[in-house]
Amino acid sequence: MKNQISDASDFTHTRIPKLSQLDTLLRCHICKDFLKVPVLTPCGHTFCSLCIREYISVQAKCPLCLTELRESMLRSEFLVSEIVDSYKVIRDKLLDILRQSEEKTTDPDPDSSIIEVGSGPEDSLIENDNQNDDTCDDIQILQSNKPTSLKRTYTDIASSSLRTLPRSKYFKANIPVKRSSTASRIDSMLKKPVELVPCPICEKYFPVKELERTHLDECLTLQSLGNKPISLKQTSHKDEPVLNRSTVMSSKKSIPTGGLRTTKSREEGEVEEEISYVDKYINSTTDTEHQRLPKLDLPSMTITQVKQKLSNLGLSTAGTKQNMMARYNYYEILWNSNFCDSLNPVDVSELKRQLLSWETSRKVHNIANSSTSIGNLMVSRSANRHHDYKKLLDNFKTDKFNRKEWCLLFRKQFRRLIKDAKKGQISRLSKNEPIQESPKDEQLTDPDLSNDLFEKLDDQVHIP
Amino acid sequence: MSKTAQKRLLKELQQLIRDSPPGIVAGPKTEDNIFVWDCLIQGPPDTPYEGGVFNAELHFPKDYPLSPPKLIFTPSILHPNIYPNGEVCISILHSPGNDPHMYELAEERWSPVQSVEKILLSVMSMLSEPNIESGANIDACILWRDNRPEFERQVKMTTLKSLGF
Repeated sequence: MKNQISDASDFTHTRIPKLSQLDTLLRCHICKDFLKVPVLTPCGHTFCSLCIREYISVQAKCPLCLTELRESMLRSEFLVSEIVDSYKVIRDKLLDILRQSEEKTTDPDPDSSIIEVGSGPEDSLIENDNQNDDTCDDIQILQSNKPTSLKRTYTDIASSSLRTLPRSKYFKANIPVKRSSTASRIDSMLKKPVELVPCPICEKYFPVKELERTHLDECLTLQSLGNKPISLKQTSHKDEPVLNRSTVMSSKKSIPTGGLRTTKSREEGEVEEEISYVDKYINSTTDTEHQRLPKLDLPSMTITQVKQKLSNLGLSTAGTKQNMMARYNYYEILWNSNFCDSLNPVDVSELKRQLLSWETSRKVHNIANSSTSIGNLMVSRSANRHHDYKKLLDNFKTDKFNRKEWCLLFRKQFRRLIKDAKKGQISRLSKNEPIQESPKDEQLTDPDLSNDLFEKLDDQVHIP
Repeated sequence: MSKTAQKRLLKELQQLIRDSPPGIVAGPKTEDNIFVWDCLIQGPPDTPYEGGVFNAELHFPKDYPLSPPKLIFTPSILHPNIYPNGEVCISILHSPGNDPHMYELAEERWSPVQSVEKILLSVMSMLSEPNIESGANIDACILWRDNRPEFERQVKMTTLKSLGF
């Protein structure tokens, strides 16, 4: 389970520990997860839309600075939303790469030389605040692209090689730097890790720098002279999507349609998606079709009025007035968060499903302590099995899931599956490896085993 | 709702496992219920609680982090801000809505941005600096105020006893 929980401290043992700050900043302070449909408060803080709306319904204050806050003050932040989404996509890979390069750094293999120093663009972002004086000149020469990262690479290379001279790879990298009076040397050094990217116009491959400095202009001039058909291809290098984008945008092309090509194919999907996040942001508009649901003064309404309101929205009118009020209030939160804040709102039926699952999780919590609910289920099992299974399934993903009942309910299927599985196992192995323990009672109480079975059972579940 | 709470608790747990502040250990009591945690809190140095290791239970509400958890020392310890039943009474554990004593600053109270770690750190500082203005255990308050040596002696005795001496 731990693997599924990402945490900012994941970065503390990589080459860029300070990325954990970025990771933290992209999280909601209420759920500690990445911001989901972020909204901005007037006091300048950002939370998940659902989290803050739920909190406001309890306490009309910003959780961070405690200033007054009402739901109507919240404004959605499409940019942050897309930043978070695109970050989430690359996060795992980023971690992998950073961890790998961490291992490599400690690996004293002399063959892993210069290329490794800058093998990924992430590597060039190593923070290093010591700046040698002689770096400044080089920054000027290199500044056309990413001055900070280039500067840092250089500083890092230089300083780390000074610190740890025996490290041959840094030493190698250091040589051209020390003698460098010309930009080309550094360039050639830095260019090595840089992959070729296709020109958006002629689609030929060039190093990024050359492409941006000279080739694009040339190509554009040529093209405007020759009136060649424009082929829209987005240039991008994975660490410079914005830069490339602006290049393309400034050349008066319509919004790029993706189709990036880097030499490393595994990056393709990733960057393509990143571009779509940019598109999504640029094309973002709020949903005007759905009106904000108003806050209602439900307590002062009569029960028929409340029922009226709920049925107008197509919601269930079951339960006490208290239940209905809670239902409306949560639905209002869901609705407003979805239609007012979200960039890609889901439709009403999905909202209702969410409302239902919220309600069941609440209900179960309320009756969880009364063991009678289980007893009732047991009694009615044979009579109303279908109903039972649905009831159980409601909590399938929550901690309230009644595993035992579920096992009992489907024990026939379970037994059959176990039998099948054993047959398969025996025929497959045809060796005297220990066969899984057999009696049904054990199976029923063995949570791990039944967990596996649940997965297999998933298809069968729909049969009753 | 409880899903949010679960997720968030798992996150906090992970964070605590990765780098827990010195003198604090905390985690769920049993694997199947993440809403009750067991904590071990080390008595801060230069206090009568020094050298002791105190056991406490954290009870999280289902709507955590909207509402604060409860912290209960098991067994209870002698302290001006700990009720005789072991429940800790400090501002970070009070939601801003109800202020039974009316003298807690809103910014010291519970808000979802607080965390288990912060609560336990507050408890550590509470152990070293009791706040008798919002006392929970009146006897302990009076003892602490009027007869510090006796208070310290009693605390040391219970601490030693809890360690099996």
